[in-house]
This record gives sequence, C-alpha cells and structure tokens, in this order.
Amino acid sequence: MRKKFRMELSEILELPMDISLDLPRVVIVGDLGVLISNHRGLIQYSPGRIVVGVGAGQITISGDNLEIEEVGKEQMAVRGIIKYVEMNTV
Amino acid sequence: MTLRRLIGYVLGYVRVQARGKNPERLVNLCVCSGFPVWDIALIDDHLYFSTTLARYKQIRPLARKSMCVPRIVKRVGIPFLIGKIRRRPVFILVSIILLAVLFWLSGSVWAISVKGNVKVSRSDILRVASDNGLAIGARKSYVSIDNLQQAIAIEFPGISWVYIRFQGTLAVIEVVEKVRPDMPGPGDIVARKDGVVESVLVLSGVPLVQPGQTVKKGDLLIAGVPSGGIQGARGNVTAKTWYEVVNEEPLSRLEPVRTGRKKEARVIRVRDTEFLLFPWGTLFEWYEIEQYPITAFGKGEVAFAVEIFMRVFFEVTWERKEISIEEAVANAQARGKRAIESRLPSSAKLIDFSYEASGDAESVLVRVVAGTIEEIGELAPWPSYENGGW
Repeated sequence: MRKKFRMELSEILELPMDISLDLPRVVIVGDLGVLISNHRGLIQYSPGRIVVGVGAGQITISGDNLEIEEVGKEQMAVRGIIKYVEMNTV
Repeated sequence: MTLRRLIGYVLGYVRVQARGKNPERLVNLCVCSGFPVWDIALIDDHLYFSTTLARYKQIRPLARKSMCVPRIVKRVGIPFLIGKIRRRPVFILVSIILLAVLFWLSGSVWAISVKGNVKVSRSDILRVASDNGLAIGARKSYVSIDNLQQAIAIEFPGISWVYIRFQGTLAVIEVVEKVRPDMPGPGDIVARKDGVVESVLVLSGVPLVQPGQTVKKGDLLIAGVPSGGIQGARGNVTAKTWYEVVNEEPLSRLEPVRTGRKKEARVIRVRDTEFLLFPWGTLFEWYEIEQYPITAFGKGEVAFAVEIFMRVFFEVTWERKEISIEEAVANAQARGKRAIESRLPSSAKLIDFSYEASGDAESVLVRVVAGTIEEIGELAPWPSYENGGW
C-alpha cells in the first residue's frame, strides 16, 4: 500500500522511481563491467559469481574473472567478463 | 590509476588477505564503517582487498565481528617507501652525493662544437674562446656569452655573426662568415664601342667627354680619382651607335615547277619506322611530296602507333625566274633588318634604319645601317685592383 502510494506520488511529481522507491540502479557496460548503485552489501563473491544485496532482493552477476573494482556505501563496480545479470526479488 | 588509488599511493595503502568463514561480511563491515575498499579478488580461496593504511589500523574489531583473520600481504605507497629509505642511510647518502656530483658536472662544458666556419679555422675560434673563458672543463656560469661573442667578432673581421649557446654540457659556437660580392675593383670608365655621346651621368670621378663628342672604342670616358682612398669612376655614358649589315640579293633564282607527272605510294609507319608498300618503278630525279593519312590504329598512349598514309611524288623541273630590282632590294632590306634586330643587345634602343643599294646585272647589294642609343661605358679596373679592391 505504501509502495503504491510512493509510486503514484513519484509519477505525479515526475520524480525518478529509483530515488523515490529506494530501488537499485544497475548499469551494464557491454560485457566489461557492471555498476550497481544503492546496494545493500556483498553477499557472496567468487570469480564466477557475485551476489549483491539490494533493497528488494539480490542481484546475481555471473561471468568469468569477476573482480570488485571498488565498493563504497552507495556504489559497487564489478569488472570482468559479464555473462548474466539477474535480479531476484523477495 | 583512479584518483582514489593515487591518493592511496600518496597516503599509503595495504593489500589485505582475509581468511575466515565469511570474508564478504568483513568487506561489508569495512564499507559500512567508511573504509575505502577496492580491488576485491578471490585467489586460492582467500579474499584479497585493498584499503588505506590509516583505516587498516581500525580493522581488528571488524575482523573479530566477522570472524575473519586479516593479514597484510603487500604495502604500497610513499609512507612505506620513506620507511624503506630510512633503513638505508648509506644508500641515501651515496645517492645524494652522486646526484650532487652529477649536478655539478652538468654545470661544466665538456665539448665545444663550432659550426658555419669555412675560411676561419676551428682552432683559431677555439683559441679566442679559450682566452675568453670558454674551454673544456670551464664552468658554464662563468662564461660571459656576450663578451665572448663580441671578442670573436672583433678578432675575426671575416665573421659577420656569432651566436653561442649551450646544449647541456655542449657549447655550440655558430658563426656566419662574410660573403663579399664578386665586384670588379675600382678603375676608369672607357668606351666599349664607337659612337657619338648622347648623355653623361657621373656618380663619381671626372667626366672627360661631353654630349655630341665622337668617341672610339677604348677612349677614356670618366676617370676615377686614385688619390684619397680608392674612389673609382662610376657613371653612365650613353651614345648613338650604329650596326651595319650588307646583303646581296640575286636578280634571278631557280624555282621548281611541276611537270604534271606523279607517282603514288602507300606508306605504313610503325612507331618511327616507315615501310613503302607499293613503290612503282623508279622515282623521279627531282620531285615534291604530298601525303594524306588513310588509317591510324591504336588508342590512348599507343595512339597512331601504326599509321597508313598515301604519299604522292610530283615530278618537278627547275626554271629560272627573273626578279625585279625593286623586289630584290626589298628582300635584301628585310633580311638585313632581321639580321640587325637579332644582333642588337637588349640595352640598345633602336632609333632608325637607313639603306643604300647598288648592284649590277645579276644582283643587287643592299647596305642596311641601324642607328641605336645604348650604354657604351664599361669599367676598366686599375691594374693594382684587378682582383677586386672593394
């Protein structure tokens, strides 16, 4: 109910959904890297798979030679050969 | 290198190996605590990440919380470099001494190059340079370039320009030598041909002729003044001069006349070689030729490589033709005028032509005389200055 209200409000006020609804923003740079904004921390890391927590679930990045280039409170930059980016909501 | 890494290098950062059940939790705790974390990689089941040196000192409680054991595997950055250097004082001392010696040696001249000299010898220039402080081993700061340039210019009158510069430990002396124009030495102005003087313009010297005066080749026109320096004669003397041509023109001449007999032949030309295809019998003793193209083969660059044309031989006989005296005189005059015009120097200005005709029963003799105005003065150098005295 609260989420629906915030969606309607952001539509009326023409605000970006990711900010008003506290959603993650994922930028995929070809198959070279992924930039995730508004994450909630690293859940699992291996060179073939990275799982990152986001507000409403998890984002799974699959690929080869994956490395976390930089991680901060808001943003996480992943580089490597990206094969899949998957969003799992709970 | 990102800005964060650059700052990390300046402030010093460490590469941390995290061992434990959940190293990802340590990373998350570090991030939450405001640690800058980058370059996270998993190698041989151990998680590695980089963080700043200052923050690493606060990592222990977080490690306990995440049940991980952090260990520094690499130290990068200027603070660690300074630490290493501090442990080797002799190395530092020797390096500083070496740098100081290098710096001191670079302030000296170790080679001298001389450029642009042809007549003035290199050793002479180097001798003057050495006398004024520029020698191998001299300190560059003690060399006064302005004074040295002046000294070289004064010492060698044949040098018009000197420039000295340093390229590291090399001193380059660039010189430009004077180039004297190839001028004849001072002397008198004499007539180079006969004529009647029209005008005399004297720039220096004493004029010896006046307008209207007749002069012969070699006559002195303007005399130089040898005393009081080497003031030779300079000036222009124009005079009226004459050019003469005598032409003989016969009153009759042989001309070819076609008899009406002719022979035709086909000719094929390949490049520059001709082949006569159908020569019928022997040709005439005297003949004229006319030819007409028939076919050409080839295009572009090889156009007309092969050509076929018709060549017509007209038999001729020679007949004597009488020429009137007026026509012969006119022909001789025209020929004479053309001959004179082709002989006239470019400086001569043509004024008029005059003709005289005489002759006998067989030919006329026409004398063509052209009057011109031209410069007749030429410099005759004095014997002692013949090789140029300027």
